[in-house]
Amino acid sequence: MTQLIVKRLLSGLLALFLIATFLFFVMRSVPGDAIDIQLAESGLSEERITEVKDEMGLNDPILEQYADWASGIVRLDFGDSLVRDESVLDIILRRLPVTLELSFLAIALSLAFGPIVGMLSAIRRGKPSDAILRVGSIVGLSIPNFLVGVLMITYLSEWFGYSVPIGYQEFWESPWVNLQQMILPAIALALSVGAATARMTRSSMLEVLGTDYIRTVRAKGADERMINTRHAFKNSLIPVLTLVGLQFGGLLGGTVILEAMFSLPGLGSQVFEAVRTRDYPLIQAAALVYGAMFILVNIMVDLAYGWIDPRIRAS
Amino acid sequence: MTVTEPSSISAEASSDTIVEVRNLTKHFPIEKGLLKRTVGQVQAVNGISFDVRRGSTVALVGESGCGKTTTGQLILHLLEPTSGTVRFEGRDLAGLQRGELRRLRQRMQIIFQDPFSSLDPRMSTLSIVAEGLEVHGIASGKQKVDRVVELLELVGLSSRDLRKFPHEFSGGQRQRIGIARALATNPEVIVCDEAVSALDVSIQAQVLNLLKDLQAELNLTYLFITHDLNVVRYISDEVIVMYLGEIVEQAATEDLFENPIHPYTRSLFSAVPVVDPDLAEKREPFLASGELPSPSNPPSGCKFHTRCPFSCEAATQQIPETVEFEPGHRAAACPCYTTDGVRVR
Amino acid sequence: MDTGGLHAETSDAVLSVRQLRTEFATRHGQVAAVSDVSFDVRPGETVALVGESGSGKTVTALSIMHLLESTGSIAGGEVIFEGRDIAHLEEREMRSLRGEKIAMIFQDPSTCLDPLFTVEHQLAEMLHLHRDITDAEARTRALELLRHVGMPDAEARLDTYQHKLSGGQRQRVMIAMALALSPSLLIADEPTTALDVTVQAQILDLLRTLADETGAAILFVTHDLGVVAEMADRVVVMYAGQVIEQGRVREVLKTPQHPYTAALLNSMPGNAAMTGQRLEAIDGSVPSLFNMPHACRFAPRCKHAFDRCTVEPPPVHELGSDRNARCWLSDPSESWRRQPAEVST
Ligand SMILES: Nc1ncnc2c1ncn2[C@@H]1O[C@H](COP(=O)(O)OP(=O)(O)OP(=O)(O)O)[C@@H](O)[C@H]1O
Ligand SMILES: Nc1ncnc2c1ncn2[C@@H]1O[C@H](COP(=O)(O)OP(=O)(O)OP(=O)(O)O)[C@@H](O)[C@H]1O
Ligand SMILES: [Mg+2]
Ligand SMILES: [Mg+2]
Repeated sequence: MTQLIVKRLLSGLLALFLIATFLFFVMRSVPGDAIDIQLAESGLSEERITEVKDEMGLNDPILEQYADWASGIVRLDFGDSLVRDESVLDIILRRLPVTLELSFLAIALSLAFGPIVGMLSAIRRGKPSDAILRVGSIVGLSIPNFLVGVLMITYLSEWFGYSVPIGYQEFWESPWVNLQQMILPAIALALSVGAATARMTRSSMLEVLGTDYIRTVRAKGADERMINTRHAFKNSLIPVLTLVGLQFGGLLGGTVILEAMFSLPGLGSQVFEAVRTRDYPLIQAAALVYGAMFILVNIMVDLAYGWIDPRIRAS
Repeated sequence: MTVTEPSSISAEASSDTIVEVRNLTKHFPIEKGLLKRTVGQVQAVNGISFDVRRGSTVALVGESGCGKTTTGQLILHLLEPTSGTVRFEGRDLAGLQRGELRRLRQRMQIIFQDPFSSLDPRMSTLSIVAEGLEVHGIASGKQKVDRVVELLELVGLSSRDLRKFPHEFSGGQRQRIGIARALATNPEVIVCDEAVSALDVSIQAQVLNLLKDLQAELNLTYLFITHDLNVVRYISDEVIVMYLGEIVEQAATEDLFENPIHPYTRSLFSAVPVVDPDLAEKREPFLASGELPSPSNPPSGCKFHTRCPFSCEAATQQIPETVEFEPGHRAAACPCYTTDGVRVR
Repeated sequence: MDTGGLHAETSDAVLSVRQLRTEFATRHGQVAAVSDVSFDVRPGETVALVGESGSGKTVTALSIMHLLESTGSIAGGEVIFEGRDIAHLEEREMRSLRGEKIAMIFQDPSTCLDPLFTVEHQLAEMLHLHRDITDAEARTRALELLRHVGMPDAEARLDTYQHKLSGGQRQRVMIAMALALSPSLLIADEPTTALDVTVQAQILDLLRTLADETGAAILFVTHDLGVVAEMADRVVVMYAGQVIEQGRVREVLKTPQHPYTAALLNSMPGNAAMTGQRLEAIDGSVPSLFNMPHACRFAPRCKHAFDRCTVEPPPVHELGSDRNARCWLSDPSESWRRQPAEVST
């Protein structure tokens, strides 16, 4: 098991390196850069522009830039933002907690409801409640999360006159305000992951309910509740875990738009901004952070596998 | 009584020997990890030698995992042996060019166990049976259809079945299609890998009878792989008993059933349920204990010693030699039941 | 016609199944997988339920346990267990019978244990479900049970998972679980079909010993007449969802009264091999549930069928105590058709 984790960590690092390299070269090959845009607007002379770019190392040969940047990463030095007067690391450290809180809340919500809904749906297969849950999960899967965000903002104020408190407050400053600000985007994000897990749990649970070992439990005289909750549910979670790991990627992508939409000062809204202004160091570093989060979550999924499934624990 | 080394079997191989197997060995590597490090070997087949006479039926019996299927596949050269040779009419299969091997393949066919999964559900009977004819360029067009009809009639089906699909047939009928497919290229040797094991007895009887009739009619040679000793007794002329990749005993069928020598063979026979209540009562139990050890980590010495009813110390160290106890009746002479190559119990 | 035989003894039977009919809802409508099954199992007795694939053995067993899939249900008849008809018993009451009074083991031990729970957990679960005991007591009892079924290294096995056990060991765990609460009836659905013969012999031995010790009656489902001869006191032969013959094992196997039983015996290769006869296959195949012959279901394949067989369904003819056959040849008015030689094997 430890061996597995170490292996996953190593391959994760390799993946991060590849992501970083890819991003670096792709970003540089897009014509026009942040400085051009900013400086063109500032009305400085051509020479001055070249000077500024030289200072920032933007005119060095590309491989040299790459080597600088790569060695920086190892020291957790991502360079300075091209747009803000601040190091990229500082920006990330300031912004990341908001994104972490949002993603955590979203995952927690989808895991709190997805599997249970899937299980109930499977247990009541063919009944009206199953049909409703299934339609619900298809809707949840197919509506884009930003649309859910828009709808929530609009209709909450229209019908209930509710609007989200303005001015971001951190959790320890004011948990109540913070939760109000977080919960709507978290729901919007959780909807599709939750719906996907619900569907997967349902089909996997139906399959498990038809297996011989469930029949054995039944033959022992166990009641349906025990069969469903203890044996069938646990077995049906195995494929669901993989799915959650994969869905996490989509969820991270969603935070970018939803943070911007709900004016949350997270890494996502920062990235949204940075893309517009071509602030490469920031974009690259953020992409690495997202990549690292994705890999970490998937390692956690592997750990969870081992916890649930003795066959994996043994190997 | 002579101590027979594999090489001396080879001297005996007479002109009507069609398949000759010498010291055949197949080890599958057990790979682990990203880098596919080899952490061990599954000793699926371990230095077996035997001859198959033209027109005879040789049965290969033993428990699950003893290497029967692997042996069958090695003989058809569907698997590359780790060492040892298979000769077909005296020619070493390993030395053959691709084209030659392909021509040889026409003459050796295989019938599989499961009549439900060994036929492609989307292919009609015609295309299933005709496949071999096309692959080997034997017949095409009208000639091909005629040949398929002929084959179907040979196995007890008819031209009405040409356009049907596997799901429209019963298990026994599907196995007939499998047989027709195998017969399409006019093979001389057919490896039947558990060909009747999945069938009900009444259907199994139909297929066994068919195989016997075809053998008489076409002078076929069968290598009959099965774990069912009743089937073996009915169909085969000679029996090879395998245990953990090795041959423990080999004899003409009646000799073996009348006088099983090796403790493994004896416990195998004693474990087979007998239908006749009188016989069942008279039988003395002689049961192997425990279960098959892993072929990746086989016991030392005589591989059967961990389960042998005559547990004896010497067997744990000494690898038994093959001894010919009676003409044509060889067995691994383990010290647990022999002294100086002479059977004592 | 003697009607006394079966019914007179209903009262002392642990289980009497009477005219059981079990139907499944399918896309093509209701089908009766089991349409007329009656038999008794008396205390301490082993009754074999034998028949070819699809004859309704498993459905009969699952009907008794109320473990049918949701599409299946008992559509008629009675299942009298310890004097009470449980055919339509409420699920809650049924639950207290399962495991406690009627236990069941299944065909494929490799899929019957939950892969995510330890052996101990699964054994203890059985105890906790029906007894008020502490975890420590359950563990002690689980260990005792494992030792009792001959599990090697029982203490260490308590904490392992099923993937570390061999097929025979898994079946031992299933048996330990089934017999944990000394049920009065054990239903064993082909418990050895997936095992090698040497392991099968061990498991059959174990079941015999334990049944003797605990006095449990066994309903033993199998398709192997050899296993019937070794295990059972009485045998119930099924064909196409009906019981076609039953009686004491020795009588049924020595002098089968129904042509199907006789044909089944004649198609066993073991018998033919010893006598050197050709196998007597049964032509055709088992009729589909959707296309049952309306009179005698075996008539289309029966060598002895005469006009009455295809017109009028044969009743069950009582042939002395504990013996009956569903065949017109057993009708006194038709007995002249029967040539004595045809029914003995
Ligand atoms: N391709 C393979 N790779 C690794 N191991 C293999 C492979 N094929 C077979 N083996 C192993 O070799 C051994 C012999 O297998 P084989 O299939 O020949 O047995 P068998 O006698 O035909 O058994 P069965 O009666 O179950 O069909 C087994 O332990 C099997 O797991
Ligand atoms: N859930 C189901 N739905 C519809 N038909 C079924 C179902 N289960 C079983 N049957 C049918 O009932 C008949 C009897 O099946 P059953 O499983 O009892 O056979 P069996 O005698 O146990 O055979 P085997 O030896 O193959 O286990 C078969 O024709 C089968 O197709
Ligand atoms: Mg095989
Ligand atoms: Mg069955």
